[in-house]
Amino acid sequence: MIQKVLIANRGEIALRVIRTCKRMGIETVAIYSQADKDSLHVAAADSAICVGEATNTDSYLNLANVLMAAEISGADAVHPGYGYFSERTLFAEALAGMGIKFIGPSVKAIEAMGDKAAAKAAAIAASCPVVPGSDGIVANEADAIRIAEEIGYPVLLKAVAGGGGKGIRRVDSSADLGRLWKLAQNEAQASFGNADMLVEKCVIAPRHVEVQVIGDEHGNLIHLFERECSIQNLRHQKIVEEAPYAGMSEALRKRMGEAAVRVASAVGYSNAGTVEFLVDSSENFYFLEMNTRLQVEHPVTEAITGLDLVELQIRVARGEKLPLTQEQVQFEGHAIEARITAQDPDQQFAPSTGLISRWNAPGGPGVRMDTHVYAGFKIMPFYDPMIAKLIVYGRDRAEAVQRLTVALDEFHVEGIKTNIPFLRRLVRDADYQAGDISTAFVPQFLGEA
Amino acid sequence: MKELDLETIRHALRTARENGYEVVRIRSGAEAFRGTLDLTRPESATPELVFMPEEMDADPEETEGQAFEEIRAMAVGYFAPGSLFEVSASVNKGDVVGSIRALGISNDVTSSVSGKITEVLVGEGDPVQFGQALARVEV
Repeated sequence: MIQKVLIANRGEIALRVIRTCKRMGIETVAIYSQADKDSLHVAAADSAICVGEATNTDSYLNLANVLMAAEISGADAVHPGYGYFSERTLFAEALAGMGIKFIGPSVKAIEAMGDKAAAKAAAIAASCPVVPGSDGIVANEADAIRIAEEIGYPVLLKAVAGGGGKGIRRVDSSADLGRLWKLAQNEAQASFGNADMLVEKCVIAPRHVEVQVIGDEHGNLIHLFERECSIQNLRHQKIVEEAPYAGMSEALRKRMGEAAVRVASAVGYSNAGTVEFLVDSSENFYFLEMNTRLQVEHPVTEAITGLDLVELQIRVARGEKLPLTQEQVQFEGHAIEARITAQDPDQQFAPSTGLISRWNAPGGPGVRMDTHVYAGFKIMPFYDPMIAKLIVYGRDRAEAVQRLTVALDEFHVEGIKTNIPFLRRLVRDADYQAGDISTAFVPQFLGEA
Repeated sequence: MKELDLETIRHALRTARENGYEVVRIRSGAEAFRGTLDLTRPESATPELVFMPEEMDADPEETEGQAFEEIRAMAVGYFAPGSLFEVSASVNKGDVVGSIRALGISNDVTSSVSGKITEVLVGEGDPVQFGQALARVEV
């Protein structure tokens, strides 16, 4: 039984998890840093425990303090949200040792998917197409050049331990490879403490399409269709996501859904996870990686399937069987999420901090806002700049885009700079409205602006 | 400066300037930063930066002419009082007054001030959170 859940996260996702727990009659415990004491996630929880000073390493990433918060709170389960400890096996293992349920996949599954080379091998074993590239870690620069010439330029140098768009370099010729190889390795060592690199073919202007999966602890595993996440910033971070991928053929949807289930099943996956793919203009798809946690953009899947993903996570974590079969999962309509960030679009998206003096959020039919901030809240420099998620739903993509446009126009924030003006321009772009997008969209759009 | 990178400090300074604060103090683990902003100068001017050790505690609280400070928990866990942890005991800054047990490890709690303990706020085995007041000290 799960009766009391500690949410080992902050901000909008902590609040989102708390909301579902409350609906399910589960007691909630928030954790917070001294800088976050006024966040809505703290106010919404039944109780809250301060775990440290402002910086992430002192608080949300302070393993001993977060684990002890779980222990002294008497929580019988921990929801990790996304980021922070959500994909750290050490955290899940420590909780297991304390007799506290980790609401997520098994340590074995996190491990299998946490290493990009191992994940790719698992995908190949599950007959899932992968991007052509090195067969595992590349030993040295000479090998990297040999592989790159074999598969053809451009190629990507990718840190084995990378993630969130970090640790990736594009190389266009053997002449550049030497210099970029060292740079990428140094970056990987500094960011992830692991300099191991992969070489992969760079698929030109692909779409980023991911498939949501969820499994129970009895071997049942289903997918909840796809999300189209091609609108990414220059650092490969998603900005606008939608579900379904409107231009996708039914045949491709079926093939990708089945491939995602095969990959997840291959590592004995349970709980919620996302299998990410690149899709080229000829509907070839390639396994990219699997995220072994709830995703930021999960609300678009919720909107079109009518399911509460956090509820499903908790239900399978407490040993229940999945309440529905693959055939019973249906989707209807179209949903789009826009990530609202405290970043100044006129200053190369530099983080903006300070007091929010005005916060007029949009509303109305088909509009959902997930946020932990409000007028009077202070944005601090210590955390990710995402301050809200605006999710809209429409009967089809055109209606969803219209709703998003109206909602963004209605959204007024003062005191800090946000990316809202940029999003307003983006949703008015003719290619965006036509759904003619790829991961090359934002760089092109910014170039034209 | 591993934790307190320049980016963090710059943001903090910008926030301070936007809100009209003169002094910025940031602390992360053993590292501390203190900056004094000259609010009369234009934003482009470089603020005067001083790196110096900082005490976590806020300014002493004044009550009827006496100054009190609190000894606070610097970890999450279970508190165990030391021999000095009692009303009327005199403590010096840096004295070990108890410990916080976390994950089987005992972490010393030291007094951040010198003075006389006037009130103890937690007892043996009490769970404590980060920053929680453990005792009041008349300084």
